[in-house]
Amino acid sequence: MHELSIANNIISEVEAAARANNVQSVASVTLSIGRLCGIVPGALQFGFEIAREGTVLSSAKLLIEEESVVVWCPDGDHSVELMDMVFRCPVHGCQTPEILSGKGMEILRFEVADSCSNSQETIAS
Amino acid sequence: MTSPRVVELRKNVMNRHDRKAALLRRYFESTETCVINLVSSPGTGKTELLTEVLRSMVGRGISAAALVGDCATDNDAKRLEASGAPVRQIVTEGLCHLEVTMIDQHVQGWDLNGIDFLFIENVGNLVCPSAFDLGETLRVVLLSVTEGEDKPLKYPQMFNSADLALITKMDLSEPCEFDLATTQDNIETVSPGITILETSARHPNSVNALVDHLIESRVKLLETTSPETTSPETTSPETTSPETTSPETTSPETLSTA
Ligand SMILES: Nc1nc2c(ncn2[C@@H]2O[C@H](COP(=O)(O)OP(=O)(O)OP(=O)(O)O)[C@@H](O)[C@H]2O)c(=O)[nH]1
Ligand SMILES: [Mg+2]
Repeated sequence: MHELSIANNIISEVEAAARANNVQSVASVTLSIGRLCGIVPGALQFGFEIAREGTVLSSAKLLIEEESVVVWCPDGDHSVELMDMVFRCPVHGCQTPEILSGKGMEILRFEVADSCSNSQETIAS
Repeated sequence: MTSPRVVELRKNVMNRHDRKAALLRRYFESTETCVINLVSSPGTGKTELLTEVLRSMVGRGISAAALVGDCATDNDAKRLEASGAPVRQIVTEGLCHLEVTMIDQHVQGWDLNGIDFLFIENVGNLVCPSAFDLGETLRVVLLSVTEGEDKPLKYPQMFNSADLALITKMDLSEPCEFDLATTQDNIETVSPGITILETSARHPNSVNALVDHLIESRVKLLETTSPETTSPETTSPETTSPETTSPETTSPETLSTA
């Protein structure tokens, strides 16, 4: 269950950014997770619900966007999305060792729970 | 009336973790220590093979050490110590993988200058350790002949993130009716271009071949290490244990070209 460690990382990154932006409460966090990261979204949700206790994210939702695996096809000179983990070009059949995307794990944004905050001028990341 | 405020963050989840791993990697480069992260399912034979590799290295006068992660016991550390190499133990208290902060803590106060190889035996698990960079130089994934040829397809992330794959317990391949070609094919499918070696802790020749491969890899990596990370004090030939084996692979001349 390494998803709990990942959830803790998410919480501490968002907490730091919330503090920098004078945010008291976070409504949602949006993540992008590459399919090559080996993260199970359901397990991450579960870990997030445990890790958010007692933080400014205590009522935050976790929204997960999956990033597909895109590789470079050396024979056809094009990028191509892989539907499964077979690292071969579906068009040309050659091996595709170069990975263009699918390994990222990024916090895209978070939404502030509405209370009294208003302006956008303090927004920093 | 105002639309909900959104803060664009665009931050890597593993930010702190990866930064620490990058720092540690720089440190390992400065001491010219090749750090090898061993990952596999429980029971694949990490400890058994590593004990033999350490024994072989000690016998050849190569300085090698090991860090071993274990959920609950110090069994593996004791077995590894029998090789004569220095061993440190990391008790993970149930955690399913090692993290870079643990490596950082356990290498504190350990003078790695003159240690050519530091092996890290990760917790037996083919899923979780794949997401955690330990600052290692090489990630080596092990798969034994008793586990089934399809494992690379079931755990593609781990095999894809590795730099070298070892098929272990080859001495048992016959009774297990192990299909080597299919296994190699499956590894290539999820990790094209990866080097695959066959090993057995019971066959000293395969252990020696693995040691030769690791020595060669270390020399190649030292040659490609960017010059800015290697200040003159840390790359002086004296610190690279010139008494080590085959002169053509570890000669001070080769190392100082880094
Ligand atoms: N015949 C044979 N047995 C082996 C070999 N390597 C390991 N074994 C046996 O396999 C069992 C498990 O080996 P370990 O070295 O403990 O495996 P491990 O990967 O370190 O296991 P964990 O640390 O628990 O994940 C032991 O009984 C070993 O003696 C091998 O090359 N040949
Ligand atoms: Mg072990």
